[in-house]
Amino acid sequence: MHPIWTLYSRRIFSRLAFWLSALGFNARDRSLTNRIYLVYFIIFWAVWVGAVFALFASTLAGGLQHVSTPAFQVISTSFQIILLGWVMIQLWSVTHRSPFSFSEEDAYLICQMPVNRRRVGFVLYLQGWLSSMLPFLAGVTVLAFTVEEVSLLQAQESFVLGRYILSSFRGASIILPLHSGLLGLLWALGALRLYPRPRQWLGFIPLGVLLLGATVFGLRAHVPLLYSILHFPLQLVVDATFATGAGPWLAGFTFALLLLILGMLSLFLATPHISLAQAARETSLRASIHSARDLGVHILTDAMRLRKCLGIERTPSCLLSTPGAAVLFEKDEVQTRRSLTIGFFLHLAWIFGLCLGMFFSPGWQVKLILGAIWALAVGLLLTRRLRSDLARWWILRSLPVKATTLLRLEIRLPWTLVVWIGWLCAFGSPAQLGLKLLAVAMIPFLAASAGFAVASDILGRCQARTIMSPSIAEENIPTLDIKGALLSIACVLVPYGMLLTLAAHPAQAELGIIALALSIALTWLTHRSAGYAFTNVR
Amino acid sequence: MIPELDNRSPGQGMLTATRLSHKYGNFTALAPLDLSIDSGELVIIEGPNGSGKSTLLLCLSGLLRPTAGAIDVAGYDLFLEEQEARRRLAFVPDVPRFYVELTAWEHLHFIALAYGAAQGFASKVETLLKEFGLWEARNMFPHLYSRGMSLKLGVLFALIRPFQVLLLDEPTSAMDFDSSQLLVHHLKELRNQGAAILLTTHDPELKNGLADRVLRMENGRLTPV
Repeated sequence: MHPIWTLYSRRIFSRLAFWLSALGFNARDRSLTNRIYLVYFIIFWAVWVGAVFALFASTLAGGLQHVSTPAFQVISTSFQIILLGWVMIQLWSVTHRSPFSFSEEDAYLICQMPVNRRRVGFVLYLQGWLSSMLPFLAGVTVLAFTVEEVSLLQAQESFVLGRYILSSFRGASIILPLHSGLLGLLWALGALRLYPRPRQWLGFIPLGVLLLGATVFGLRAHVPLLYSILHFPLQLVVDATFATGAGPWLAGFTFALLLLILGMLSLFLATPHISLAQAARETSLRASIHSARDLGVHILTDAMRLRKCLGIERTPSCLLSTPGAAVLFEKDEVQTRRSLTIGFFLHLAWIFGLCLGMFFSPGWQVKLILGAIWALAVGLLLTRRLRSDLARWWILRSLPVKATTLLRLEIRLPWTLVVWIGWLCAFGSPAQLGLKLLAVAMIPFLAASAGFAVASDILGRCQARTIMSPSIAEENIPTLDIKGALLSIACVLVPYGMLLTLAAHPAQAELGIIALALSIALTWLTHRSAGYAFTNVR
Repeated sequence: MIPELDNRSPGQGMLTATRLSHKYGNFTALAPLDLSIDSGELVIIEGPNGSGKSTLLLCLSGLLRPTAGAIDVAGYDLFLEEQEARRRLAFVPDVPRFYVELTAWEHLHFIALAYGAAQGFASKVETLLKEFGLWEARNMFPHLYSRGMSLKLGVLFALIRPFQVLLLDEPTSAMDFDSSQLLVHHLKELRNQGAAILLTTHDPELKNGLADRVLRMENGRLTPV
């Protein structure tokens, strides 16, 4: 076998084996028992997938019953839009970055060897096709089931397994060649980008296609013929995917097959002269991010993404200006601004939602559960910067700043955001004014104690030699442990529980004062504990 | 170095370690040792890999809490009077890691502000960056630097602010010849200004041309050469 095929087939197999083992099957076990188990495994997952898809289809069909437009038309139009959207995204992607993705190891192994580029191109296409095809296959199966479900509902017939299976095969038989052909054409276009002579015009193709499509769509009433000519192939093939009858299927299948042949031919012609080195330059970082994501190392994925987003250089920030310890807070501001992600805002939104629940939900049990989750969410948010800075221990620990002051500055920015969110919820709550004011007074301490409790746990388990080890991100820093989680929850729930008791029994006013005093005391204790843990990292 | 940093115990060494030891579990990385480095003295520690040189520097810099013993920096206890001691102490590890979101220039500005050395920062940083060949790359993110460039930036972290004790872990291991010579020049200058300097190295030229005293570390024990 050719070494390229050997390398990639092993890689594909090991990837497949990973997912199979995640689902409960050991592909490396060649015993008879395991082969018998394989039969059960396939039947179990086929039934499971079929049942889940049927459930989705049933829900969709139920929803489509309330829409005045015929269900088939809705499904066909939706799928056409999805397909067009996917093509546009892929078109933009392949005309701006190599579709042929190489890991860092590939860049050393393959890109510097006199390999057959066409073969490499096809192997990489196969690898990309596998991961790209699965969502399409799943989507088409669900939609095909939905069409069947709708027709069964309309005919008031019961579930017919054979019709479901037939519809899914019909959909798959068209979508697989269609998807493969389209992907082949797109990758062939991407291959042109990797030719030694740069083709700048390729970058303008997506915009051109978008403008042309928008113009034809906008003027469809005036130039119906042009619109019909352009729209016809798409409609033909999508309708054939979901329609019944042999005629439409044959037409759709033939079209998809022609597209597949065209796609493969384009790829065959375009790949022999691609620059593998350029492809590796453009994709190795992305490949590393993907492999880190696949392995579930989100810290590394985020760090690599951040490095990619930051680029090469920046003009100096004017935020760094205050001498002394306060510059730590300004550093955090600069870092936060430059590393803002949707994840950060989602985390804040999550805290906001929990906070709303703590004030608005009925029943003290629900409120306490939400309070516990809030404590953990706040604790993790407040210690994000600390964990990142601990990975630069030689800088952080050397600063001439008192440990407790340093920790306060490390959590100050997210703490401020959490407190504002809490105050917003407290003021909007339907509680009495006295309770609102008490909640407003307690929120800063509850948030701080949750943060310091988590910080104390993380710092308590840090080891200087480990965190001084070279790392990309904070992968060497301990994460929140059960002890820290419980401490953080306790620090929030005890005073918060008292506040809830006071809300239920307004006559016991002293409970409010005790709750506030307790939240202050817990903040002080956890603050001291975190400071001690920081100065005693061994 | 700036003159306003006082030495609280002028009679004693600028850096003093007493009965200092460190264990990783049952493994003794540092056997109890005493060490004193005077103002204006440059001490070099040599020894095979894994002999405990880096652990000693980590303990002396306060990054690693020793299992036993005390460390004084200019008369200030490193763990009881942390702020004052750390203000006088600078440490550069062999593989310095930097914040991902800050550029090299911002790192140096941050350090200067944190140590109260922001006065005259712009001119000082320009001189140092140009000397060490990092001026053109000042606005770059340091994770894009080569190992040698990272090491130079780590050294600049120390040079940009005042200190009385300087600890360097294999400072020339990844530096080019010119940068090594420049570092030697700076170290000599700092020694003349009264800084106590301790560095570990495998570089015989550095050892022969620079050291006032050479110590050998083997199996966690320190012996004079």
